[in-house]
Amino acid sequence: MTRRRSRTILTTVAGLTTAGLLAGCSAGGSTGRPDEVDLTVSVWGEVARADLYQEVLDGFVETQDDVTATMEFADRGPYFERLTTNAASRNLPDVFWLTDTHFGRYAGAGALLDLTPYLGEQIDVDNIGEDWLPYGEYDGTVYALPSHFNGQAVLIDQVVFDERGIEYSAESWDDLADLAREMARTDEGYYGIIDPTVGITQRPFEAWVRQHDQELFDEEGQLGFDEDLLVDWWEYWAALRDEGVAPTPDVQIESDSQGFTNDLLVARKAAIRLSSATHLNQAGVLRDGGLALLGYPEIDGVAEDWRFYTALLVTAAANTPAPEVAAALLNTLVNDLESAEISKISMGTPTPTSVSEGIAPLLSEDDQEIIAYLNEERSNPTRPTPVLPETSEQFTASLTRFSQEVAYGRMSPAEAASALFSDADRYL
Amino acid sequence: MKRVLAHVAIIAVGIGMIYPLLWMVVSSVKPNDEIFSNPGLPSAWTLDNYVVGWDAVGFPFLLFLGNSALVAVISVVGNLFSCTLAAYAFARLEFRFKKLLFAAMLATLMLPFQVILVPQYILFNNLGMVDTFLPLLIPKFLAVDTFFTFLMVQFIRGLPRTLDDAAAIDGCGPFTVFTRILLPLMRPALVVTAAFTFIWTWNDFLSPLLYLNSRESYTVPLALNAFLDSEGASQWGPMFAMSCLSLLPVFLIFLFAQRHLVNGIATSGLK
Repeated sequence: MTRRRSRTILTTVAGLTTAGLLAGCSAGGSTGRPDEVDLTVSVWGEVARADLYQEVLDGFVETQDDVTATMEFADRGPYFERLTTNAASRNLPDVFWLTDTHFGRYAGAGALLDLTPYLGEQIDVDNIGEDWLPYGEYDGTVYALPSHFNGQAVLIDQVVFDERGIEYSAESWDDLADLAREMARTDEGYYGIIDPTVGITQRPFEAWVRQHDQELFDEEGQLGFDEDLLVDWWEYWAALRDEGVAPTPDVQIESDSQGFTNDLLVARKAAIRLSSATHLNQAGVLRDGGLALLGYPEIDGVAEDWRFYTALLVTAAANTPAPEVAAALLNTLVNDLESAEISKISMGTPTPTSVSEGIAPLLSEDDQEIIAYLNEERSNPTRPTPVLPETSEQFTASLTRFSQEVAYGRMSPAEAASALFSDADRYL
Repeated sequence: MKRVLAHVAIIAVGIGMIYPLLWMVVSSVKPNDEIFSNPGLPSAWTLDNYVVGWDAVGFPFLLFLGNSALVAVISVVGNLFSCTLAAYAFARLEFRFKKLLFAAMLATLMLPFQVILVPQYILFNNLGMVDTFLPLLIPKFLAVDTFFTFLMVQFIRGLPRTLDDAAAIDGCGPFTVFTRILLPLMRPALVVTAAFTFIWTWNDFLSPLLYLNSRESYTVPLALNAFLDSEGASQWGPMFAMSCLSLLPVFLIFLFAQRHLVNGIATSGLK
């Protein structure tokens, strides 16, 4: 064989291989249920949570013919890194969880299964409730179900409050600051309150915004609050930091970086923490109880319907080869009491009240308190939360970044707020 | 006196550098609640973290050590095989577009892994290789770790061409010149390639995260990540215990290959 001929053959083979790969890339998902279905289900968290959900999956596959299911998991950061790559190659797990901040991006990219045909069929929506379905809607289409939810709360070290004979009675933000000042022992390195601004959550600020009758994002997906409101928020916390009532950013960021293990409330180095309700369990277990779960401070007479809930959304991928089976699994993960008895409140409080109340007797006192607190919170009037824009997590990252700039004194609150708004014009 | 002060300073810096490692080892024998609250020695020494950690991810940790060793050893073989051949071609052979291809290779050296992440994943996904070790191993046999190719090109360029010419006069073809003359002289560069490939593969987290989904195929970094829950209670003690165990192979590699590592870097012109 001549060298030229062998080169021609090699070129042809390479071309055909490339064409085959491209064809493979563009192949769409099949329709109808295959004879054998192997579902991949993905969740964030550590191995204990994955084991619980593997048990739930084992129960589910027993009710199905020729279905197997495998659980994937990773810690939250790597979980979303992997999900992004999976989405780019249209190889998402069949069923997986999203946070409300990530939901818009995946739904907007057409990566999620339209659940509308399965509502009322494989998926029982009565238990979830009409108020809760919109959490999984994007552009009027249901792509996800709110399997669990969480609400805002205040956690306090009840032991220290009792020791000092002080009763928690912070109804307003000013009350909260005064109480934190009273609890702080700056000479002993004991803080009155944990600084929520430098961490990775925007929820305390969202509460502040909604209490002022504004929103983080408006219906058009732009920032829905005034710059001054952000300046006030940062000034509120800067004052507490300057007095030593809240930790310095170094201390706070180091504490935040290790999850709850080194949380200042867990380490008995702070008295008050703005939290999610389920943190009562996570912090309580690590420090053998002694915590109390209380309502958020409020701004008198401005917006009583400010409460909002963070929904954990379970969804199916548009690329799943067995959408009916995936929909049935979604129903099990949201509505099935027996499954919830296994997973309990590992992911949060189950959205259907019948499920959360059904599992309550199996739970620890702290967990029962969380469910009772959240169900009571739900009875308050609540105005709808606008759907988060696709790039909402960039706002969260930006808020954290500029909060840290303020905390370290590198920018004034006014400068940082102005920079955050300019930055938001770029990505929103 | 000056010398004593210099030694004291060096020892102090050395202790500072080794402190994180010591902290991890001490933390692995502490009760979980003391790890962050007590920076000193534990109030009670315990091996519980090793016992709990060994089976905590559903399989004995030996399986993950074995998976990592398998991937690392085959990667070493792949890189030694492919990078030496590619380097020999660039350093000694003449072929069309050699300069252009060399520049392309250098360009890929500067390309961040994140850029090729998605296309590479799509390729392996379409080939049905996700959740196997193949996506981690196949690239190693295609000389994609261009750093090592470049390192060996530099090394071969430092070897006298007269050796090749003498072999050619004795009747050696290009391949025999490579295997009989150059390869034996490349030992320091080969050791560097082997050691760094092993260590980087052993510690790699992102590629296994993307390609290995089943727990039984986890490598050590994935298994260690399974102890972590950034939103809740992480099992720090067992994680540190298993981290200590997973450091042993890397430590041994450094111990035995240290002299060659320095030699290989020093003689390849990559100072």
